[in-house]
Amino acid sequence: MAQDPNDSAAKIAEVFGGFRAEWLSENLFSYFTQPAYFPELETPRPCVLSGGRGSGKTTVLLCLSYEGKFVLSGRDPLAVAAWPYYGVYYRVDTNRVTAFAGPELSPLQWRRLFGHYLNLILVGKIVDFLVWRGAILGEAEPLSAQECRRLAASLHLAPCNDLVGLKEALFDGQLGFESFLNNINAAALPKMSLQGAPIRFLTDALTTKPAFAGKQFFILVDEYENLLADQQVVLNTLIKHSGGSHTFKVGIKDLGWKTRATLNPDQILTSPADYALVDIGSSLSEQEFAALAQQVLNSRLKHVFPNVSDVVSLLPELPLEREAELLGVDDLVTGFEARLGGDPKLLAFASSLRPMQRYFVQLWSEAQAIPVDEIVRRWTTNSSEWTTRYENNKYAFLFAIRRRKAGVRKYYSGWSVYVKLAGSNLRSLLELSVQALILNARAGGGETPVPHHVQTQAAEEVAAKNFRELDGMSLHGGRLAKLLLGLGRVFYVMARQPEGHAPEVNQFWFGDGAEVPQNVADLLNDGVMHMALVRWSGNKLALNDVRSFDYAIHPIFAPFFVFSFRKKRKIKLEPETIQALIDHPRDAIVGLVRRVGRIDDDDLPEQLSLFETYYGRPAA
Amino acid sequence: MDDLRLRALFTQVHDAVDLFTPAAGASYLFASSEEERSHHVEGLLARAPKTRFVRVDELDAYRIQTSLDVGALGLRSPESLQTLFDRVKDAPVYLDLTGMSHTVWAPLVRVAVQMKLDLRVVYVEPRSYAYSQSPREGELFELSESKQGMGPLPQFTTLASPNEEICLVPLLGFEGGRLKYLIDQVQPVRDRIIPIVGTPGFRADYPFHTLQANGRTLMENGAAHAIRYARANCPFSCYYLLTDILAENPRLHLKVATIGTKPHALGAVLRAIVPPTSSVELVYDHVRRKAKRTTGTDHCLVYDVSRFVNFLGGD
Repeated sequence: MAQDPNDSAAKIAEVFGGFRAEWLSENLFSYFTQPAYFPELETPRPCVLSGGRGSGKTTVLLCLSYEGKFVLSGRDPLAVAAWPYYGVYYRVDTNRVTAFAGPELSPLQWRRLFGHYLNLILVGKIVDFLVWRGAILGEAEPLSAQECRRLAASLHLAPCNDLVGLKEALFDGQLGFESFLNNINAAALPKMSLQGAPIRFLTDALTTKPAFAGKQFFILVDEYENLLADQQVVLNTLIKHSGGSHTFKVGIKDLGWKTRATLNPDQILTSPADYALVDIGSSLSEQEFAALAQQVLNSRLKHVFPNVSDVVSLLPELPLEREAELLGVDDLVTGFEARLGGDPKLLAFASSLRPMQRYFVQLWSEAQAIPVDEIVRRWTTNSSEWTTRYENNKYAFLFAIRRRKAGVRKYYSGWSVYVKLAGSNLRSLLELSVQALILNARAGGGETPVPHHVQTQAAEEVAAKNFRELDGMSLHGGRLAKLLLGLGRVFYVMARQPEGHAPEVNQFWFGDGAEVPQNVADLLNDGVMHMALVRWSGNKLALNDVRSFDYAIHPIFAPFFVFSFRKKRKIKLEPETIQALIDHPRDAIVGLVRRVGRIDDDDLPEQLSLFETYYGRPAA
Repeated sequence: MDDLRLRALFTQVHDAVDLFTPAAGASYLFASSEEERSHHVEGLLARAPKTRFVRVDELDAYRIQTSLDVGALGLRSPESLQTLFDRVKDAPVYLDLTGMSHTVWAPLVRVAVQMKLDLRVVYVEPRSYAYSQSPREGELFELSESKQGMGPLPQFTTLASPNEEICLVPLLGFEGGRLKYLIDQVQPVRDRIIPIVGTPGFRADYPFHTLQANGRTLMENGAAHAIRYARANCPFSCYYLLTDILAENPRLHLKVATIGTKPHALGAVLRAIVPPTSSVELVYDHVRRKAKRTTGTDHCLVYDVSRFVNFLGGD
């Protein structure tokens, strides 16, 4: 009996789950696919794993943790003793670390307090691990009573003789510390431990034991960007001086590093001297990134479609000429021959032109005010030049086919297109693929290839979801969403009227002489950090200067606004225009569209219907 | 859960703000904002000549100044705030939340409860909220200018919790973006969100606006089925509900997000301190409120917090 389409879709949703590491829990580990850079993270030196939201940082760090390794090793207690390292995971909690700032104390006092807090937290994580390991392996206490007492003393905790006592003392220590933060008195600071000293004492003591000989402790710090600048200084210092019995593996968002300084003003944290930098975006080539995503998907695909071994086979590509036909280009070129003046030579040549080529000739004719027969004549006499011109413009001209028409305005279909839309973001590529499979299953498509319009719908839905999430991603989320709505509309109108203009303009820059206010610079940096925007720079020496970058809306949003996701050409914008697109969107959009020589005469794409009031125009 | 009708509530509801007059000899702590409703105190000044009015001004996120001669007071220092209450403690103390930000009134409530003052909290509902000029999905109203970011309220920092598993309990309001931001920051797992919607609302249609603003986010995070309800203008209902949630989930650490109504936020503050518990952590995004976010005044509510605390047997 055939499976109910809704059951099939539900099964896909269940097997692929959400793609947030925090959601997958046990499944996270069982489905883990090792990225090419993983071995670098398993080396004894400090590593910084840098990447955008959804690039897989948390997944990787969790898989380095003892809980992750245990599941990955098939829950084999015997394997635990043989591991070369033991990772403890700590995610920086904004609600807690932001308590360590304010005018009541000096920056130096806050640093010392934060250093003590880190000692309490990280020692607590290692003690949790030791309790877990003892229970799993049935081992005796690894620390002597004297070592427990000394460790507690180094943290100014109540005396204790064993791990259970240590756990309780650490909890009480945190409570006491919490009490101070809720009753801050500069004249009555709590007793504080030396920065990093208890961690060093504990890991050094452990690695002298036979059970831990030759082992190393990995302290896995996730969401480093949540630390305040002064707090990064404290942790930077610990990273710089780590080594031997313990090291640090840090997960951080792009642009999340506020400072490389350490507590020693003469020392800053540098790569590769102090740590190995693994930049997820650049450490994997586009091919490697696609292959990793393919592996992740295929590992789960068999649980849904036993007869399908490769997800790529379910996401067929759409050749450009075929896409033009699907968009209805044939209807636009029905009178083409009649415009050739009956010239047999031109008619013969025209018969060899595909509909998209004819459409190109027509648009070029309108834009340049050259008769159609004249263009065809020139093409016959200078084939190379006109073929190149067609090749350079054909993709851009696809966007014009459905001008002022409802329905699919542009297809976003094919595995290679999805890879580009994801922009090296693993979670996005997985979401695109799975959403396509779910929609196809709901339509009764099962394990047959996903039709192009369904793939396009999936891309629109994922883009819409990411857009909705923007609000929550950062402090500037609401303004970023408005910026995208403004820019997206302008690039849409530009894409729909490509004739007579440079093709595929979808980036912007400020120019070297621009004065960019700090609030605009902060907004753009935040946009890049939270994957609303992407940026490139040709100038490696000016990486802190927003003027040295070209910016674009992240390609994942291209199907939402309907413009080209390809990295092509740019327009120059003033910082005031960025502000105006946010604060006075309707007027700013009209002004910018006029400036780039277009007319804002097209309805909104259907997926933007919720923004009719925002734009003050209907959706079709 | 016990029926709310069987639980004690300590609220006086005045249909209009000019029907309320504080007790003679009382002290009345208030702040003014650009919201029209906070100006109701001007009427009180005329109606209650025997009440001592104390204006509270927020100097920054950490300090206040008052019209009493006690200098700048640190919000993270109970001792500092006690110097304020020491001057007014002998009679009922009214604390008017209407024009105050969470960062100011929450620590004041904490200290007043700890000092066992006769504390009555006042809140004036607005007649309406400001509609957005360019509304986006989930943002029918325009209430906040920007977010300062997540951080503890003064005197409500939590570092230690007996439970490691986190459950986010957002007290929902009209701004969907705030819920999204808090989910992103707290990162609860899918079935660990228990949203609370203010029902009945200040007005009959408000719960629908709340659901419209937050509904999609709740569904995408698998939390729509877990919604719970507490009267929007009743801190005690919210308190009881949070108590129930705690009892139902003894192994969870509740991160209660005070992004909805001020009465709900007051309920959360009371739940965190009476009796004190490490299982409730307040989280807040420190929004900067828009100057003209509301218009007019509606009901005036007076919450007898000290009677409630005494009823609970807390300290």
